[in-house]
Amino acid sequence: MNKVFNINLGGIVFTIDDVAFEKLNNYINKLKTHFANTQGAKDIIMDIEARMAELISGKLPNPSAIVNETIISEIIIVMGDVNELDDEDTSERKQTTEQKTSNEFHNTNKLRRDLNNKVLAGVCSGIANYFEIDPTLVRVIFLIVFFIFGSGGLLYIILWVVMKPMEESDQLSLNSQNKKHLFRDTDDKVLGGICSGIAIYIGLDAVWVRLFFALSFFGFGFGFIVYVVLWIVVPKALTPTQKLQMKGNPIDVSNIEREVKNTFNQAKQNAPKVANEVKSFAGNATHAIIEIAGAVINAFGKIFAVALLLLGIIGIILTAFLYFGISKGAFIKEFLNMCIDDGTVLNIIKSGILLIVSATLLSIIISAFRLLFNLKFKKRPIYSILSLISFTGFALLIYGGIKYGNSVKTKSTFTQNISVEKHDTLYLISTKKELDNENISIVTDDDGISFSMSDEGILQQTQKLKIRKSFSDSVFIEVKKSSHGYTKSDALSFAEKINYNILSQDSTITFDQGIFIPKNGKWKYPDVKMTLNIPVGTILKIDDGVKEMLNRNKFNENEYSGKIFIMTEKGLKCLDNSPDLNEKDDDDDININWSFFESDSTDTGIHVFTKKKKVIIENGNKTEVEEKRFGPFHLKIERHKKDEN
Amino acid sequence: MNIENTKAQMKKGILEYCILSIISRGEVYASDIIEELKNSKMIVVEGTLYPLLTRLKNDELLSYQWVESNSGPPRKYFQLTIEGKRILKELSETWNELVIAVNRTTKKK
Repeated sequence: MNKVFNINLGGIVFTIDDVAFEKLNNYINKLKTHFANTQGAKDIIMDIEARMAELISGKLPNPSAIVNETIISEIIIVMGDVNELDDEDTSERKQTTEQKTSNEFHNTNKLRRDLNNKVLAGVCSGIANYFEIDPTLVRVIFLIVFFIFGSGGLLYIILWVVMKPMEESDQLSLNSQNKKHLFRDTDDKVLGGICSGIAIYIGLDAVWVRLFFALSFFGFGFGFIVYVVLWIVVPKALTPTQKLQMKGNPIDVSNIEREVKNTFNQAKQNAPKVANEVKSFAGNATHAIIEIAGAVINAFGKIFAVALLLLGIIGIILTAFLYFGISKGAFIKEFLNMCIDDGTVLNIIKSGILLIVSATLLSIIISAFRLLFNLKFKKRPIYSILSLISFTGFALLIYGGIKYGNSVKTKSTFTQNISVEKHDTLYLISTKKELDNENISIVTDDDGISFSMSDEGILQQTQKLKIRKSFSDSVFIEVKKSSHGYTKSDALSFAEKINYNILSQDSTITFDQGIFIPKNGKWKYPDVKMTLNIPVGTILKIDDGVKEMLNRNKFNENEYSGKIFIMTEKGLKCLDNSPDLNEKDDDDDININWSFFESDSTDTGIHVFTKKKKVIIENGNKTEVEEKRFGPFHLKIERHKKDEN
Repeated sequence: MNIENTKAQMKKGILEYCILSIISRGEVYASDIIEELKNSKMIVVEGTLYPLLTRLKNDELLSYQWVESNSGPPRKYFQLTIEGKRILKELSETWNELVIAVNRTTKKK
């Protein structure tokens, strides 16, 4: 049987048993005598009482439970013996016993999410705590699993839900462990503090690690990936505790003292002076190299940051200009207007682009600032807001894109035939329409496809021309105009409206140089495909623009390298500049002996030299003139002049 | 040489610096300070803190106010006075210099 008392300790009422009360009372009385001569003794006692009350209530299973002697003994150990209190002269002995007790109390391993040491939800570090390994290792494994198998993310979420967060008591015990952990050392950083963190972990100077990383950036490239992964995975050493854990030993005074002692001992045992000086010289030299390397790397980082900053600012200015149509670059906006009918879809796509661009630019600028000035504001909320913004932008873009795709899902083709007066020689020429104040021009070299835009509209040079043998005796051009739209009739009406003209006058056919869509028109993937049908024996003379149209047909067997052609039974043959025909000397193959091996094109006509004959073709009349056995023949084809007819 | 005395002297100044810097991060009450100091192994027994806090308060580096708490009696929340901030800054500079100096001295090969 035990007597119990109700006491008021630091404002909390406890029920305490006889023996415990005696012990507590004794302790407090000792404190009072101890601090009797100290200024503010009353305050000190009050504070200690309050803390003890707090500790006791933490140990009680419920508020009305009876405080017993064990609890009081534990509390007194935590608070410290009276003699220890006024100066921190705790001896090694006391420290070790204290550590033992605290470990005994707390060292129960539970699988809990470690919120103190988290990147996302503390799952990885919780697992690491459970298996007593470094969290970074677990994170790297998770990331690998995530990328390779894709299941890591799901696993992580499941664990997130299943694992409880760690309780305070567990945190205490974990934090008190003196294990060495890999942290990013943000006090000594160039980028993310990875290198210095690793350096501390393996006990090297940070510069060597940085040098290694810098080399691997340039040399192998994978260093960059490794760095980024580590940046994500390795936590920052934020709290003093983490900084201590990073170094693997507590910065308590005994450690500092030990180090001082070691130095003294070393100094005593030091080698003779000369050796010493040599050593220190070598040391200084190494130190200087390290410092220079560090400065260079640092400068590199700063330059990088400045470049980033400039990029971001220029980007923002450009975006603003584009968006408000101030600069010439407003063509993007114009182009969007011409592409998209639906105003809502247009606005959705525009705002999507704006969101993505601005979020990207802002994060570039923020990173640049952080690099430049080593700013240490909380980055997580800012970056999550920015990624939310760009995510929204992407969502809008995808939605708008689907809507737009739907509005151009059908293609229709409008066909018409243009008949051309029959001539033995046809001149195919193209107009030279150029846009004034061209804003942008995209040209592909190989097939002469070009796409330019100005304030007037779009000039698209994609039209293709094929030349085929006509089965009848007539000459005609089949023109296929195609366009896209929501429905077939929709697309057809767009196709009909395509502004592409072919003018046939006499023996000259004039093609527009490109498909022109004025600014107020709609651009729905317009295209024009033409087929010129000519009877066998017709000679064609083309200009550069037409040559391009011919060569845009990707699947042509021979490229149209020359400018004069003749239609044969077997198809179109090039009369000038054709390597195929130069090598072949087969008379039966073609109607006339066109075994040319040299040609010349002048203003007045075309001179073609053959081995056997001279042929003059004039106003559609074909005349074989002469046959000579020596030297090359001179073939003269008079250029057809319109005004003479 | 009285090694115990040296140790005590060393630890005393550093402990004050630590306490001031914990309080500088925002208002805290005694148990918060204890938590941090224990985590970082700056103190072993809790009782040490209270005389120090009182002394810092008497030196007018700290002030406190009572704040009602949901669980239990009101708590003393500490904050730095202007003088406290000044001292902290000075201590911080000294500490950084000291760390560099000690490192330089002890790490020299």
